Amino acid sequence: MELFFSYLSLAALAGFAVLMARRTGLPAPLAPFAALCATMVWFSAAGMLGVLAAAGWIYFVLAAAAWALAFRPGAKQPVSALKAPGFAAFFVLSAALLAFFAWRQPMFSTWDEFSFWGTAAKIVKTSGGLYVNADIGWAWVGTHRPALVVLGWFFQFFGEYAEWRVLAAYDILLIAIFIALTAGCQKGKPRQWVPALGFGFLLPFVVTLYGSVTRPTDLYASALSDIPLGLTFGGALAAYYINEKKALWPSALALAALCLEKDTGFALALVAAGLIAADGAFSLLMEKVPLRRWARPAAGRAGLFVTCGLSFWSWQKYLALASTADTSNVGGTQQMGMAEMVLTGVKELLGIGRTEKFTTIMGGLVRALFTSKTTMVGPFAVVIALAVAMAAGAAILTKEKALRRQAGLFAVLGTAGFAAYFFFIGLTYVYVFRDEVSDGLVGFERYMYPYLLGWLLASAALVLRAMGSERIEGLLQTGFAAMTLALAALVWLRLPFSLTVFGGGNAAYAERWATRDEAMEVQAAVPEDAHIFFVSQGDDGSRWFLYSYELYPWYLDYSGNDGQGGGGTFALPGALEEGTLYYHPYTAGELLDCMRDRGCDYVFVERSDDLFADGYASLFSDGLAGCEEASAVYAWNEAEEQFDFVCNVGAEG
Amino acid sequence: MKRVFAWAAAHLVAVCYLLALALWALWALGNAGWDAVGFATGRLTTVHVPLSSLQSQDIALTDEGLWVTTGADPQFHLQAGQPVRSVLFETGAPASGFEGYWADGGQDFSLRRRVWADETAGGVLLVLPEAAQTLRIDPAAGAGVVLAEGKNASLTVNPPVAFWRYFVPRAEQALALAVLPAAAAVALDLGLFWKGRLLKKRG
Repeated sequence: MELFFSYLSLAALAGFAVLMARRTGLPAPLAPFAALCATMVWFSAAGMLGVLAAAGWIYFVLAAAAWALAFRPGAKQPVSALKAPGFAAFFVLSAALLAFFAWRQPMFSTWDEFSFWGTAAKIVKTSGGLYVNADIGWAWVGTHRPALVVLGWFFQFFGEYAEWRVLAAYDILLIAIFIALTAGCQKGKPRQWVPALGFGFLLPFVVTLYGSVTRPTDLYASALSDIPLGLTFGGALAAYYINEKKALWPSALALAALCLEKDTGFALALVAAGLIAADGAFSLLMEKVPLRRWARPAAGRAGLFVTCGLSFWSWQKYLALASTADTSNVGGTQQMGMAEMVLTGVKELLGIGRTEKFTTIMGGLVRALFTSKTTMVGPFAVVIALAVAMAAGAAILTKEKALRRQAGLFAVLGTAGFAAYFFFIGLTYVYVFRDEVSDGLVGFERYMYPYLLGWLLASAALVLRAMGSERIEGLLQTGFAAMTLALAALVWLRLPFSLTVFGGGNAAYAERWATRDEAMEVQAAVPEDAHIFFVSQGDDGSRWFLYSYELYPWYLDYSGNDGQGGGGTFALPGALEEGTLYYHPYTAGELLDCMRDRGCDYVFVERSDDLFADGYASLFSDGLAGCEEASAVYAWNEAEEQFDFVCNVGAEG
Repeated sequence: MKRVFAWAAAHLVAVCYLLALALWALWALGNAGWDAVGFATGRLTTVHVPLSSLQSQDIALTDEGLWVTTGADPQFHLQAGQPVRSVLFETGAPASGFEGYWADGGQDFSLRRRVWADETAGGVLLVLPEAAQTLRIDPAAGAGVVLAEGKNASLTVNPPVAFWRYFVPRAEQALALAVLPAAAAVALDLGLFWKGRLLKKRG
């Protein structure tokens, strides 16, 4: 049934896509991507205005109208425009993916999915509104933006919440982006559009995995934002470059969505808008268009920047109005604003007051570019070379003068954009991150992936368009197909199929199912409005996040002091070395105060140990005997001023 | 005939997928037939192999007569002395925890020769995509799972497998079915293109 309901969402989306493909000059394969971006922006705006549910109903009514309108006579493009292979492929692949996920039931698996992306998705579906002020045990970080979360919500507008529906929504966005690549392909030529799809599909594997993979990967079964972010960035550029008419509105929609996906999306969106603006200016210059006719194209390009700014600002404004979280500075060790950070960084780059930290970190980052094996094809330098080579190849091998200019310029400016983005990320390591993060350049590759993904995608778009006007007929088509085949072979060799979500078994989610069962038993034992205190000895916070997610809308307390809170080990002062991570040194009285002050009538002892039993058995009427073998729930007994054993939950042992 | 070819050339991708499905059905039928012949001639036989005769790791028989996993990586190693096509494990443990690795003589076990288990009325069923000499069964992902009861508990090698199961793609067969037809369509299309182009040049 949930599958059918997801198909309803897909059908509604199809209504808008068909409408765009018939009533505008947009090539049909770009339509699903444009429609999805519009959907994300629509629901993000509705969420900020607090009318999410109403916007959902309006969306479905409008979609029905769109279906009707699309087939009324007088459309700009004939029905045969819909027969583009990519357009049909989008719906076939999306429907197949939904069916597969409905059967396979993939689940969230990483920390960030429980600490934000997945939990936010659950909150939006459960509460019917955005998550910023949700009643949950931790404060939301203001930088987290809603576009992907509401996209996941859209695909489960009807029916029950399910993780696979969130994950499928992300994948459908990616499919729409890959399909956009086929807009440049000619009809009836699978030698062009099949490799285009294959290339897109392989990109996340090639760019974000490295070495021989021996653990299951969550690619295509992940609610994290990095990959959709990078590909939306690439999609905005591809939609522009692949469309000979250079229509700006699909890119504008994509950029608006991009700015609402994640805060770093703004930086990427500005780069994309800059590339598109430079491309327009360059072609006007080269075509010697008189200055008085610059106004319209210039206004259009300026509109892109305005769109980015508005979209980015809307969330800031919403947070300022709706939430209590402070979002004015970028945080970190030096407490500086974004503009100040860039200014200081540029000064240091030019040698004015350059610190040793700046030299060390920037030097390390540049070295990592050439030496760290961070992608399947080698260091980032190889990926950069590949992106430049593709754009340059398109420029050299096309007969079309305008395209040659575009591709040539992109080869240069894409690199410049990367340099700027790279510098910006470097600055966050110098000024924002804590020393233990910046010294080891922790997560550096994760920040680079989005730009590289988008860059490769846009370069591929140029190559695919150039196939229509090859200087040596067949060379680009054969070359691109061969490259895609080589990448496929590489991925196949490095990544056993059974480690992907497409070939994986249920075993990967066995632990998740076990915790879900346990959480449901806790929910059965505890009233919904109660606050629950969480004890899981030895936890680094991950189990606390996991159970916060599973138990929601039941409220799992922060469970600890604010400095080290969110789960951890409870033990008497002195029992563990001071400074041990996630260690709460409480006396029995202090722990009781902590629980009672925060209104926790229930304690969920997920994992007890000797340290906990030694320190706090007196707070429990059974002396903690009940949780020796299995997890247990305790309830506050006001008369005895102790917690009474309620029941065991989960499997024994 | 000419028209059929013209239609096929215009719908290369669809034709390749249809062709692949037909080949897959033939392959499955062939496997079912070959196994039936094997059972008839005695090359394959259904036998019960006691768990106690198997080499195992992280699995113990408790005093109460329960087979329980005791470590993080429990395994049974099976050398049946005949080609193994399928194994049935009578158990109350969830099929989701089971996986099978098959190998021929001299081969190591590999992530690329791994199958997931099916849950059936009789227990957990592992069906291999090809005949194997040795099989490693990982029955659970951790300690504390009860696998079977009784000292004489056994598993069944080469139990009769329902006909339709031959049509379910196993391991990388699914990947091949998804990818190869598309790749074939591209190769064909490119071949036709270059053929046309070179002929045109010569003519």
